[in-house]
Parts: sequence; C-alpha cells; structure tokens
Amino acid sequence: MKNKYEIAKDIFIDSIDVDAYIELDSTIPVYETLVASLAKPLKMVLLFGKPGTGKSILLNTLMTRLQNQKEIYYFDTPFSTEKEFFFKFSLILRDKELVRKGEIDFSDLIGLCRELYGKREIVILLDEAQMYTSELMEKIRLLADTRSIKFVLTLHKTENEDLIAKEHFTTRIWEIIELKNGTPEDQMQYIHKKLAKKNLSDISESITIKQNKLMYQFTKGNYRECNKLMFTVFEICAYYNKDEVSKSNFDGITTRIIEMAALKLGYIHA
Amino acid sequence: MHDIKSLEKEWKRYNKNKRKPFYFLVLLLGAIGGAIFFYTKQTAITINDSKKTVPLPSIIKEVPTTQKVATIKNKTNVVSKAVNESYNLLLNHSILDLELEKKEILEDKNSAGMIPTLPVVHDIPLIDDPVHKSNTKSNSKKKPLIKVQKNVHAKVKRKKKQLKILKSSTKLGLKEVARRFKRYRNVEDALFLAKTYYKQGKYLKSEYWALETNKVDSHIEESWILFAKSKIKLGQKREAMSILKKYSQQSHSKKAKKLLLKL
Repeated sequence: MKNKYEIAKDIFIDSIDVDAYIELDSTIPVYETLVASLAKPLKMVLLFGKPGTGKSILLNTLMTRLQNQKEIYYFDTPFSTEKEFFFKFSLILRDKELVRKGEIDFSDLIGLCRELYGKREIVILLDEAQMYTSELMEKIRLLADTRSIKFVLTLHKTENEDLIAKEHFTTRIWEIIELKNGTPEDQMQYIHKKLAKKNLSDISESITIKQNKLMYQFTKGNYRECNKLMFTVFEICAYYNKDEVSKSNFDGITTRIIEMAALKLGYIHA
Repeated sequence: MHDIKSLEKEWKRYNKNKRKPFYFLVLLLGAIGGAIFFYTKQTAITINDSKKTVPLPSIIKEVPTTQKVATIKNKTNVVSKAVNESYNLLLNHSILDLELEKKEILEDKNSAGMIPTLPVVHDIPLIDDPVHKSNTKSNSKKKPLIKVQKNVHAKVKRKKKQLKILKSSTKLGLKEVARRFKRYRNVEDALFLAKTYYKQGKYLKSEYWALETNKVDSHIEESWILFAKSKIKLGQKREAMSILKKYSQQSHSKKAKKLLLKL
C-alpha cells in the first residue's frame, strides 16, 4: 500500500494530460485570451514562452474544453515531412479524393480550403512549431489565408523563435500571447492545488513560505522544474517514511530534504 | 531510493560548505569590532593622560633662574597631589645651598638680654645677643652678624609673593623654612615659624622667631604680640608687660593694650 508521499510523488509526474492542468491566477487570463482570440477573425495565434511554462498543457486543455463547440484538432508532435503534414491535414478535411490519390498537391489543398470557407471553421493547434521548416511555415501561412483554417502555434521563446515570428507573421493579423514563469506565489498555489486534487492538503499545508522560497530558488517558477523537484522531494520523503530506521525521526518536508532533492537534480553542488 | 546514503553524505558536505561564508562573516565582523574597540580604548587613554597633566605653578619657572623667593597663592582646593609633590621637590632644590640650621636654635640662659627697646632694630646689640653668640661660634659657615644687622636696617623691597608650605608642621619642613629665611630674610617665613612653634608649645623658639621677624620689620603687630605671649608662657611676665607697654605707646595697638589689660 502506498503511503501518502508516494501518492504525492506520482502527482508531480510531468504530463500534459488535462487532469494535470492547474488553473492559476496568472494562467487564467492567458487561457481566456486564447479562447477570445479564436473567436476573432484572426488567421493565426502565436503562443510562445520558455519550455515548461505550460504551453502544451494549455493547448490540450483548450482542445478538451472546446471540442464540443468547435472543430478543433491538436497536433502535439511536429511533423517530420511536409507530406506527412498534408496527409494528416487532408484527413481533417475528409476529402476522400485527396486521400485516394496518395499524393497531395498543395494548390489543390488551397483550393479545397477556399471552398470550405463559410461552411466549416477548423482550428488547428500546432505544438512545437519551432521544429517546422520555413517552407512548411510558409505553406501554413497560405492555408491560413483561406480563412477556413485557424492555426494556433506554440513556440519556444528563444532568440531564433522571436526571429521566426517576426519574419513569417508580421504581415498577418496576429494574436501573440506570452506564457511566463510563475511567481513564488504561483508556485505555492500550483503545489497546493496539485496536492489538494488528491486530498493531500495536510502535506501542502506543511510546506512553509520559507521552504517554498527555497524551492523557487531552484525552479525559478518553471512548472516543469517544479514537477521534477517536487517529485524528487516526495521520493525522498516516501523513503524516510517507509524505512524503519529513519521513520521515527522523519518529520515531513524539511529544508534538508529539499536541499537533498536539489543536489540530486543538479541545482546545487556540494 | 537506492542512492539515499550517498545523497545524505553529499548533503552533509553541502551543508558544511554553505556555512563557511557565514563563519567568515562572523570572524570578519568580530575582527572589525575588536579593532574598533581597541582603537577607541587607545583614544580614551590618550585623552585621559592629557587631562592629568596639570600646569605647574609659576614658581617653577622663577626659582631655578632667580634667587628671589617666589610665592604662590595658596588655593587649598585646587592644588593636586602632583603639584604638591613637585612643589616640595622644588622647595628642596631651592634651599639646598642654604646653610644647615642647628638642631637646637636657642638655649635661653639669660633672657634678659633679649628684651628689645623700640625701635628694636637699632638698639639690639646683635653681637651681644646671647642667642646668636653660640651660633656664630659654633657654625663658621654662617654669615657674619654685622651683615645681618646692616640688612636689618635696610628695608628690603621685594616682590611679596605668598608662599605657604602645606605640610609645615613637619620638622623637616620647618627647618627648610628656617634655611630659606636665613637666605632671603622674608618676614613671612620668620612669622610663620614663630606661629608654628607657638602652636606647638615651643615658646623659646617662637620667642626667637618673633624677634627675628621684628628685626626685619618692626611694624608687624602680630610678631610683637607673639613675642610677648611667648615671654608670658616662659614665665617672663614682667618683661612681656614691659614690651607690650612700650609697643602700645608707640603703635597704639589695640591688641597690645588688650593683652596688657589681661595681664
């Protein structure tokens, strides 16, 4: 039987499942802006931020919540070739003729999309768009110009990705949404809500502000790093709670345990 | 978690290294605090030392260079111990070259010869003075009395500066005053000795010093009264009355008349 620390450890396994999505005071406005932008006559929406800020989980959550209202599709893995992309795209369009041909002509695809204007409004969520080639990105832009397809792209925020955004999309009507790392308060809220979902509020309440600040020093407010750190912290706690020798001295999450987790993950060094 | 032991060891090393800057800071602050404390202490000592230095009286400047007797006004509450010591030292130095006085100044065998007549200075045959006879014979180092007589006639005009020895009751102190009088002929020294010996009950000596005072300055009432009193104490009442009579007739001294009436 798992002890509570083992259950808590599993909560912080990094995942983009909708169940893992936590609404925070800082992320709610971002979600609402994204939903509102889909209602606008915008061709493309750019969602960018550092890795681990919650872009993927946000898109997944968006798709899950809007799938009954809109024709929305989420591609979490980037396509390795253009052919693969167009094949998948054609399946969305449900054009049997295109599929039967085996080869997809881009101009045919454009023509098909123009015919769908006013009849269907398709939203395509493309994650890790920084992986796409510039030619593919150009074709995506052209598909968006048909106004029957709305694309939501996520990009990692680096110097290069900023450049891509500027070159390809400056002439389009854009909604640019940035996701940032959380504040210490956001992190505290994130941990509390995660644990509360599994009825482990007693553990969350034992974490002091000082301990949270210490963890923030390591994670810098990044949710992926926070998941990693909390997973390791609860892994150590689970061991001490289980081990007969150390069980009597074990008193929950301490600064020592947090520092041990940070040492293991390489945030600090002896 | 299989690597917990190594992780614990690693954490101990980390914890130890984490505290190093703190210990260093504590040591540094301690060193700075100690340096400041030491510096302020040194400064305080320097200030205290400078305060202890008391300006010496003016006599220090005058005595070594001049042969005049410098006197200092006695401020009883002001003179510190250091000043007393320095003063006594200076006093000793200033009278070193004076002739030593005999232990017993007077043996009055024939006190009749001591009765002065006014004006005292002129009529006293000092050569026949029994008091000085023995002294002159025995102590060749003393200056001749003729010189003393001459000096008595002339009124020495000197700057009067009060010199009062604080510990004058000591034998050594009195001797030093006597030595000084021999050299400088200061009436105040002689009067002081007369008073002191009278207080001590040494009436023979007080009589002698009162007479010495009168020799230098015959207008000092106190020395005449003291002379008469000493005579009375020595049992020479008639002589005392005679002196007082003559003195009161000439000076119209109220004190002399009062004392005479008492007798």
